[in-house]
Amino acid sequence: MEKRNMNQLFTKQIAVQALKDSFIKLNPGVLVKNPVIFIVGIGALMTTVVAFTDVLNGHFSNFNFQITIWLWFTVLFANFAEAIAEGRGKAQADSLRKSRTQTKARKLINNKEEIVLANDLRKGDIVICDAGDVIPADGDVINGIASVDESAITGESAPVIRESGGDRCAVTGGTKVISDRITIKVTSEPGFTFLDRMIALVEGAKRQKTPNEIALIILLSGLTIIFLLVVVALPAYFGYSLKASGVSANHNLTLPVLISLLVCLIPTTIGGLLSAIGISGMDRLLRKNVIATSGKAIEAAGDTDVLLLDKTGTITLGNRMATEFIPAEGFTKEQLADAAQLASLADETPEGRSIVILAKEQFNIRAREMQALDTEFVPFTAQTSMSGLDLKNPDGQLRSIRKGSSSAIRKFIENNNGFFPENVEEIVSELSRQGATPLVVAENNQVLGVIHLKDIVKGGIKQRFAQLRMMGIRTIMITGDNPQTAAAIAAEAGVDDFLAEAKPEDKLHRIREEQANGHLVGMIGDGTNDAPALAQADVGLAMNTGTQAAREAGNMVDLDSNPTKLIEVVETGKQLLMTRGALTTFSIANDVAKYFAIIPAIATSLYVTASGISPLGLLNIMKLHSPESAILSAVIFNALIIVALIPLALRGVKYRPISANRVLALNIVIYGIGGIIIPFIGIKLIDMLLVSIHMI
Amino acid sequence: MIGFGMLIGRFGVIVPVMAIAGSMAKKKITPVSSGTFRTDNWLFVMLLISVILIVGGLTFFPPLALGPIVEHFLMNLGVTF
Repeated sequence: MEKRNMNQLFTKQIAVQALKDSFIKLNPGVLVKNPVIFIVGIGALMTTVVAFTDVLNGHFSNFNFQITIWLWFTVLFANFAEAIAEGRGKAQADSLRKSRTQTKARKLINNKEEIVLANDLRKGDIVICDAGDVIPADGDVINGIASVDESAITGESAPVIRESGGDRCAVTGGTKVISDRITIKVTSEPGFTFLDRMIALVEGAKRQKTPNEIALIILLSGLTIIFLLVVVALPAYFGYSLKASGVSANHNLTLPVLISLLVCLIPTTIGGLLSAIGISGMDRLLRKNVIATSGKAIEAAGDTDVLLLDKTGTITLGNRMATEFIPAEGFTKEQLADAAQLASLADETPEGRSIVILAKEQFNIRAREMQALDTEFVPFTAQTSMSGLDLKNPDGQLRSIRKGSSSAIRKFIENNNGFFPENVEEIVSELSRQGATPLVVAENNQVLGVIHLKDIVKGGIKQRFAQLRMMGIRTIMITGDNPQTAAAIAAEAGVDDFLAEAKPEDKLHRIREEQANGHLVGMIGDGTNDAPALAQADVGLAMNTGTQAAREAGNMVDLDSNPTKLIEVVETGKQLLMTRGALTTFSIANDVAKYFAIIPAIATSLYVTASGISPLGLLNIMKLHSPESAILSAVIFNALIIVALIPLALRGVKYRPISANRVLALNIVIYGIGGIIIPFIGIKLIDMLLVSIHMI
Repeated sequence: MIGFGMLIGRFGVIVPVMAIAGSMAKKKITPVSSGTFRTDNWLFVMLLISVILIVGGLTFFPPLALGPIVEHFLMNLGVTF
C-alpha cells in the first residue's frame, strides 16, 4: 500500500528530472528566493573553502570533509523537494499541452475562410469549426450549436453542448467539435489562453508567493537571524570562559562546527519543503480537475468560513420528482395515478417521467400503447401552464385530462363549469408549505387530486454540511424558489441559512455583507450574471460549462462543472494550511534534540579536565560517541529529514473533518511532540551507524 | 558601546512590535465559530508556554551552556573563576 502510494507520488522520469533540476537550482539567483536554504548554501560554501584550505595546508580533515558534503546535500535535498513538486505539475501540464501543438484554425476574413496557425489568432478573430476540428483558442460561440468533446481538459468522455447565446457559449482551446458547425469569436491573445495560464501556473514559472507564505518566510527568516546571532556570539562566550577558567584545551570551536550548529538550528526542514507544499496544493486541486489561477485562492479556500451554494445540483438533484399521489374526496389513489400517468405519457420532462414511474411502481399501471387509443396530446405552454391529453374512449366519451399548477387547473375546471374543491386547496397549500411543488390533476370538470412533486435532497449532503459546520463553515443555500419552499428544503438539507428568490444582485449583496462582518466567502457559479459575485467572493469557483465572463471573474475553474466541488476545494485548502503548520511545528521542535547533540559536543573536548571528565559532557544525554560523531549525526539527520518528509509535503497531512481545536490538539501531539522525540532517536541511530562503519 | 547595545536591544525590539500591533489593529474582527483558533482554553495556554520555552530556550541555551552552566560544572570539579 505504502509502496503503491510512493509510486504514484513520483515516477522514475520525474525523479530523474528533479535530480537534474536540484543541481540547476544551486544557482544563487534562484537560491536567494528561499532565505533559509540560501544561508545553508553559504555555510556549505564556507566549509568547502575550509576543507580545501586544510588540504592545501597538508592536513586533510575527514570531519570537515564529511560536514561539507552533508551541508551540500541539505541544499540539494531542499531543491529536490521543490523540483519534484514542480515535476509532478509539469507532467500534468505536458499532457494538456500535447492537445494544442500545431492546431490549424479556419479563420474567417471577409466571409472567406483562410487556414492559419492557432498561435496566430488574435482576440476578436472569428473562426469556424466543423465536426472533427480542434477548437484553436478560447472563445465564445457566436453562431450555431455543437457537441464538443472536452475530455482533453476535463477527462470527462461524454460530450457537452455548446451554443451561441446564453450561459453555455464558452469553448476552450484544445477541445474537439464532434458534431455540427459553430462560429467562434476568439476571446484571448495567444499565450494567454486559459490553458496557457494554467500550464504556466502549474509549472511554477509564474508562481508568486502567497501572503501566508510570505508571512511564514518572514517568521523563518526572523528565526534564522536570531540563531545566526546566537551562533556568532558563541566564540566570544567561549573565549571568555576558556580564559577565565584557565583550562587548557585544544580549540575545537572551528568554523565548520559553528556552521553545523547554525544549519541545525535554523528551520531548514520547513524552509526546504515550503515551496513544495505550495506547489503540491495546486497539483492536488488539479487532480480534482479544479484549476486555481493563483496559489492565493487555494489558501483563501482553506480559510473560507461561509459557502454560498446553489440549490439545484449542489443540494438537490437537478429535478423534482413525484413522490406521492393525494386523491381528492371521492376518488381513489389508483384513479388519480391512472389519470396522472395518462396526462404525463407525452411529457418528456424529468418531472413527467417521474410521474409515469411512480404510477407504475405504486399501482403497477403500465405505460399504455397510445397509438391504439384515439388521443390528442396537449403540450405544456407558458400561457396555460398545464399539459395533458384528450382521449376518446371506445364508447365515444371524451376524457380531457390535465395536470398543472393549481391556478391553471382552477381556470380549466371553471371553464368546464366544474368546481374546485376546498380540500384540494388545503392539500395544495399544505404541500407548498412543506417546500414541495403540488401538481393538480383534473379530468373534464372534476379535480382528481394532487401529485406531490418534491425536490430530492442529495444523499449524504446533510452529513457533509454537518462536517462543514464542525469545521466552522457556514453554508448558505441560494435558490430562486419562494421563501416557504426554500425554508423547507434548507431544513431538510441542514444548511445554516438560505437566500430565497435570489437575483444575481442579491448574491453580490449577501457576499459583501458577509465580508463586512469579517467572513471569507466562497461561491460557485456559471452564468454571466454570476460574474460580479464570483469576482467579489474570496473564492470564486466558476464552472467550465459557464460563460467566459464567469470564468474570468472567478479565481478557480472546475473542469467537471460539478457544483459539489466547492466543498472539496475548501478541504484541499485546509489541508494545505495544515500541512504547512504541521511541518513548521515539526521543524522547530526538531531543534531541541539537535541542541542536546551539538552543544555538549562543542565543548566536551574543550573542557576535559585533567581527570579526563568533561563537564559539559554531562549534557550529552544521548551518550553520543564523540563530539565529531554527534555534530555529524545532527547534520545528517537534518538533511535526511527533508527527504523523508517530501512524501508528506506532496500528499498533505491527513485531513479530518473535525473542529479546528481538535485538529490543532491532534497535530500538536503528532508533529510537535513527535518532532521533539524523533530526532533524539534518529540522531542516536545515525551516530551508532557512523561509529559502526568507522566513518568517524 | 554598551549604551549603544542597550539602545538597539530596547528600541530595536519595540519598533517592530509596535508595527505588528498597528497592523493588527487595522485588521477586521473575524466572528467566532468552531473553526476559530480559540485563545481562551488550556490548549492555547500550554501551546503558548511551550513556544516561549522552546524558542527562548533555543535562543539562550548555547550562551548559557558556555557560560553559567559550564561554570557550575567546573565548580563541581574544583575549578573556579
